[in-house]
Amino acid sequence: MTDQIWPIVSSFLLEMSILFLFAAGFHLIMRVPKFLNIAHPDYATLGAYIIWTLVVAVGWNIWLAVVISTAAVGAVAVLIDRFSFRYLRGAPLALLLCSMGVALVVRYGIFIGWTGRFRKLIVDLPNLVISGTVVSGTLLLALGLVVLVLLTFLFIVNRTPLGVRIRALADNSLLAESFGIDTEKTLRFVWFLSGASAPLGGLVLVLYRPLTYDVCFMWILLIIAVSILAGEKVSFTRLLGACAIIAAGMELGLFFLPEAYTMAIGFAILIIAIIVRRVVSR
Amino acid sequence: MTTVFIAFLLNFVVLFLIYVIFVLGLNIQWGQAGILNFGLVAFAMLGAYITGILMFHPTASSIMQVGLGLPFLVAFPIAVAVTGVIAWFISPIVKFGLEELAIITLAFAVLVHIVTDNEAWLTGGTTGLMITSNLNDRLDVLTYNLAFVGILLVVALAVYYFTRTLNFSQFGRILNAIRLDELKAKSLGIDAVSYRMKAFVIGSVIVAIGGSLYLYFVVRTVPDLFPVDLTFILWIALLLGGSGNNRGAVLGMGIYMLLDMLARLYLNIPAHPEVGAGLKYVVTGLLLVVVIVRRPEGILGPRRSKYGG
Repeated sequence: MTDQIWPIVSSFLLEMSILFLFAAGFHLIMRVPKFLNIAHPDYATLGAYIIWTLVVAVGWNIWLAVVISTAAVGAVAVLIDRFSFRYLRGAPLALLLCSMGVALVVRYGIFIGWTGRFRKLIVDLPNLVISGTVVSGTLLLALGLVVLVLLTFLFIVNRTPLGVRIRALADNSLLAESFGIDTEKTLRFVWFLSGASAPLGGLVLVLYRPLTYDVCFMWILLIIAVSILAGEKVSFTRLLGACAIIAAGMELGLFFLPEAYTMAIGFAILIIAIIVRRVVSR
Repeated sequence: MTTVFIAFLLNFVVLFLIYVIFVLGLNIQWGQAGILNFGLVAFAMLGAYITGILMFHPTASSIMQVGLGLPFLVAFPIAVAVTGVIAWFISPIVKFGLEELAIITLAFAVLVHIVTDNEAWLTGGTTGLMITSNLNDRLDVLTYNLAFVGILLVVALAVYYFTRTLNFSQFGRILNAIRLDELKAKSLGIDAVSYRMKAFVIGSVIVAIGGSLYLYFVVRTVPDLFPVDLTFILWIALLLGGSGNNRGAVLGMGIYMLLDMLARLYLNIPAHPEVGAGLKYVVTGLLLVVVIVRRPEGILGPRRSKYGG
C-alpha cells in the first residue's frame, strides 16, 4: 500500500514546497507594496543559475553557493526596486506593467549570460529510509527549506519591530508614514526578503529539472493563484495552506487528466477562488 | 540588394502589419474600454487554428484527424466568427477588477496553449498544422511576400479606419466615458458591463482576423508561433506609443519591429546566436520600464479628442 501511495504523497509534498518557496517572496510584495511582481519567478531562475555557476563551474560547496545566491538575488531585488518600482509607489497597474518589463530584462539577461546550452545541477543528497520507504534527499531539502523560510518569515513579521512596520505598511501605508515609519527603508527590507527567498525555490526545482532560462517563469500563474487564495493579510501559514490545496488539486487531477493538464487544474482552482472571493465580499 | 534580402525585408513588413492588426485590437480593449487582457494571443491562436482546422485535408496517415478542406475565403470568415462567439462566451469576465482580469486572461492564454500543444488529433500538436495554399504553390518567395504586404496593408488600413470610426462614434464615446469615470457613466444610465463586453468581443475578433491571416501567410503553424510572451510584446508596443492612440500603437509596433530587425541583422553572431535573440527582449523590457517610469503616457500620449476624452 505504501508503495502505491508514497510516490503520490512525495510528489505532492515536493510540489507544495516549491510553490511555497516561490510564493513566500511574491506574497510579501503582493501584500506590502501591493502589486503582482511578474518578475518574481525570474529572480528565482537567476538564483538557480548563480548556484549552478558557483557549484559546477567554480567548484564551491553547495551550501556556501546557496547563501551567496540568496544574498545576491536579495541585493538585485533591492537594486531593481531602487531604479524602477520606487518611482511608481501606489500605482498597482503601472507597477504590474513595469514588472513585465523587468521580467523580460532578467529572463533574457539570463538567456544571454548563460547560453542556451543544456545545464543540470547535480547534488548528491543522502536519502532517508524510514521502515522501507525511501524519502529522497531533494524532498528532505525542500521540506527543510520550507520550515526555514516559514519560521524566518513568521519570526520577522510577527516578532520584530521591523515586522510591526511591515504589517503597518501592509494595512495602511499613508497612516504608517504619518506615524513616522520610514516606509522606504522598510520597503528595502521587504524587497531584500522577497528576493532572497526566491533562489531557494529555484534550487529545489532545478534539482530535478534541467536549467533553462524560463524554468521558473512557468510557475507564475500558480504563484499568483496561491497568493490570492491566501487572502488579504500577510500570513505565511495561510499561504502554506493555499499551496497545499493547489498542490493536492494538481496531484488528484492526475487521476482524471493527462500530466500535461496538471497546470490547468491549478488555474481552475484559481478561477474558482476569484469567483468565491467576489461572492463572499458582496 | 539581393532578392533574399528584399524577401527578408518584405517578411518583416508582413509581420509588422499582422502585429499592427493585433495591437489595434488590443487598443480597443485597453486604450478605449480599459479592459486588461493579458491573454490576447489566445484569440490570435484561436483564429489561426480554427482557420487551419477548416482548411486541412485529413489523410489516414496524418496526425491531425479533423479537417474540412475548405478554401481560405470560406474558412476565414467562419474562423473569425467562431472566435467572436468564444470571446462573447468569455466576455462576462470584464466584470472583474484589473488584477483578477490580468490573471484570468493570462490563465486562458496558457490553457489554450496547453490544449493546442497536447491535442495533436485536433491541432497537429508540436509537429504542426499545415494548410495548402494556392498562393504559396504558385508564387515565388518575392512575389508571395509582396502579395501579402498588399493584402495585409489593405486589411490593416481597414481595421485602422474601423477602429478610428468606432472611436468617434457614440459607442466609442460611451466607452471613453466608462473608462474615464465608470460611476458617472453608470449614473447616466449606461450599462457599463454590456459596453465593455462588446468592446472585448470586437477587440478579440480583430485579433482573430490577424491570426487567421498569419496562418495563411506562414502556411504551417506550431503552438510556439504564438508564444504567451507575444501578448507582452503587444502591450509594450501599445504603452510605448501611447495607449488609446491608434497612431501611437502603430508607432510603438514599428519601433519594436525595427529593433527586432536590427537585432537579427547586426547582432547575428554565429558562435553566440543567443545574444541577438535575447538582446531584443532585454532592450524592449528596458524600454518598457523607462517609458512607464519616465513617460507613462507613451511617446505620442493619449489621443486628443475634440470631446476632451
